[in-house]
Amino acid sequence: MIGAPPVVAVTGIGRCAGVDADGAARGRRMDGFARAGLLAGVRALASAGYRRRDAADPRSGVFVATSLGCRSSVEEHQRSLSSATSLDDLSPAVFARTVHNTVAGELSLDQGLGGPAETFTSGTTAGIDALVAAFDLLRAGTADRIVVVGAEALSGTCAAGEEAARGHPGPPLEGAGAAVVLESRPAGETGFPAFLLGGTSLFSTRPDAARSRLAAWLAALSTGTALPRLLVASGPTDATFDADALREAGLGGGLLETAPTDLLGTAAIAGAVRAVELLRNRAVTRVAVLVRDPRGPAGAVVLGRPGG
Amino acid sequence: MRSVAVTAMGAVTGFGEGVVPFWNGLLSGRSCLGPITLFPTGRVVVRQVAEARPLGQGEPGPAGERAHRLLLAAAREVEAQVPSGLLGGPGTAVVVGTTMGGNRLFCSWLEGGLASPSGSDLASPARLLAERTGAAGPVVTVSAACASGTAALGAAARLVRSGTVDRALAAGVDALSEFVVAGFDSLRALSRTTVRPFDLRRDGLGLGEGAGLLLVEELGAALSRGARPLALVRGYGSAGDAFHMTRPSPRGAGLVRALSAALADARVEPSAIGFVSAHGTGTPLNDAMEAAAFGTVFGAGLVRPPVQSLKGAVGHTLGAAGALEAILTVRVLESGLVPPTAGLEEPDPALGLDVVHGAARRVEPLSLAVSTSSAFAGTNAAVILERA
Repeated sequence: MIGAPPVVAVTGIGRCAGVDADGAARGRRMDGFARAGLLAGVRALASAGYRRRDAADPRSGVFVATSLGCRSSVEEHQRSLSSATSLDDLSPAVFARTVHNTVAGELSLDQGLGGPAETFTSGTTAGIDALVAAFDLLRAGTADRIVVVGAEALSGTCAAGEEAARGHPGPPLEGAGAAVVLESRPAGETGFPAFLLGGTSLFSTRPDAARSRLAAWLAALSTGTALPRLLVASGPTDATFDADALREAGLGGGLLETAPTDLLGTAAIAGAVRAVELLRNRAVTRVAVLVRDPRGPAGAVVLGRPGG
Repeated sequence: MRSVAVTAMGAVTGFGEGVVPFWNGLLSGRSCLGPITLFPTGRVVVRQVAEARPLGQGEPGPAGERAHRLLLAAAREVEAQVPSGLLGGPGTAVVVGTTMGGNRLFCSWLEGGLASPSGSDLASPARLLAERTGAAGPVVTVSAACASGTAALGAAARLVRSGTVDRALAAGVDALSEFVVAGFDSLRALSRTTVRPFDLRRDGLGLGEGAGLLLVEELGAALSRGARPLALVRGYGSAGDAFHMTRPSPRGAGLVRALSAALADARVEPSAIGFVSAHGTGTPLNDAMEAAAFGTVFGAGLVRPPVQSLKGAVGHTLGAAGALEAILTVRVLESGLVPPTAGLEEPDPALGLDVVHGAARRVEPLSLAVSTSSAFAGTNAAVILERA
């Protein structure tokens, strides 16, 4: 299809929950967030058949999505500071871990990814932002491959903080991550079970307005095809996408699954991984992953087969 | 392809509130680094920073989060330059780059000073800006350490260029705190004398705080409403070093890739670049790395574009740095004047750079410039701007 922009295929997926022996070895100098993100990304790249080259690959990049980032390291540094009597009581290694692009850095280092590197910390919709940005760059030809990683880790204090801030418990994660590898392919290629077909995000403090706008976007994207099935990744405590509300928005009958826990910044990526699994099994042809942060941002990405 | 124009700017730095005092301060060659007043200094060795003026201590709680106040001060300046209501609605996006977000609030909560950490997350400044302006398009936060501000501008320009929105507010913001100063002090990264970017005697960086905010719009839409473009955003690139988590690759491989990507995105040759706003922190390693990277991209032994760093003047403002450097670059393109690099007295001959120092320099002709940023964890970013 001469002149048509490339399509974006999902060529690999990966997950990390908790810490295993491999994780402990690789991530011994990292906090839970960095370790989870690194492992999820490494596994996704392996499943995509990616092999590290001798020189960093300028056409392979890494995008990371998180809500809390390295908050556990932030807490560790602050607590050290509170009890310190001099600078010598502080660990420079801990402070160095308080930059939220550590996953991007560690994955870039581990896998020789010398291409675009971005870290999105937009809250629950960070994964939407990362996926949409990767989609745009791959279609523009800026990169050939981007691994998009969602990672989150909560210490006990972080979990309590999240509960205090959001008014409901967050998941007691001790490091969890999910990742998809996106690659640009020539227009018309169909040899993958899942392609990223598009994404959008918006800001509205009104759930009904957010829902209506997302429904309109899904309808516009689905011109000529059936509406995609829906996978709600925000978790069960967000009523924006409950069954009644979706029916009112003209999306009734499309709900597939709702994530059982609030996955914070990993939501959209974890949702994308789950969507790929559903698409691989041919259970459905298109899945929309819906995410809303109760503080305003909301978004959706659609995965499926072009023309499906 | 849609063109992206910068049509309004706002800034808060140690020189005060506003782009005018920022620019005049840079032209003067002065440094606004001075004694710390924001927190007790018993646990830090280096006690010189660039605190934003005239922001005082502020009230406690979310409304008093210093990063929020810095960003809102810059927002007020931008709002005064555009028609009422322009920034509201789904056609406007917000992209904020920050390393700390509402971290001061989080630390207060940890210390038991607040009942809830609400408003302390990284995305809180972006939401605040969206709520204030009524922006209903994408509201995005990026945290790429010291490259956050440049990354925010790149992401904002991408949203406008792709047609996702017609305009976007691109900001960089970070506030000073004991958390940050003590952390950099523990790394022995801070200058014990004077911040001297690219100087033979450079010995470290100095920290600052601030906010930089740029309104970028689709050029046709901006012209239709009667706006005067200040500059065009021609290209953006980012790249990972893949070398080390806290040290840059000696040859600046990641920065070379980011610069090359930005030049390719802009479809311009390196020889067309007439000015470089460097990261220029004043550390021995960073400045040497940048010099190596610029030599690779712009050619060793040839006449290279003049280089400038603002970090001797306003300090290293972390997430705000890239946005403030973009504002500086726009002003350089508008005026043809490059401010001197504050603190630089004796350029390191080993670097082989033409760094403007001592007095402002007129550079003509000047149509294209680049602003670069390099960060912990090996993230590098570059944005190319064109005179309107």
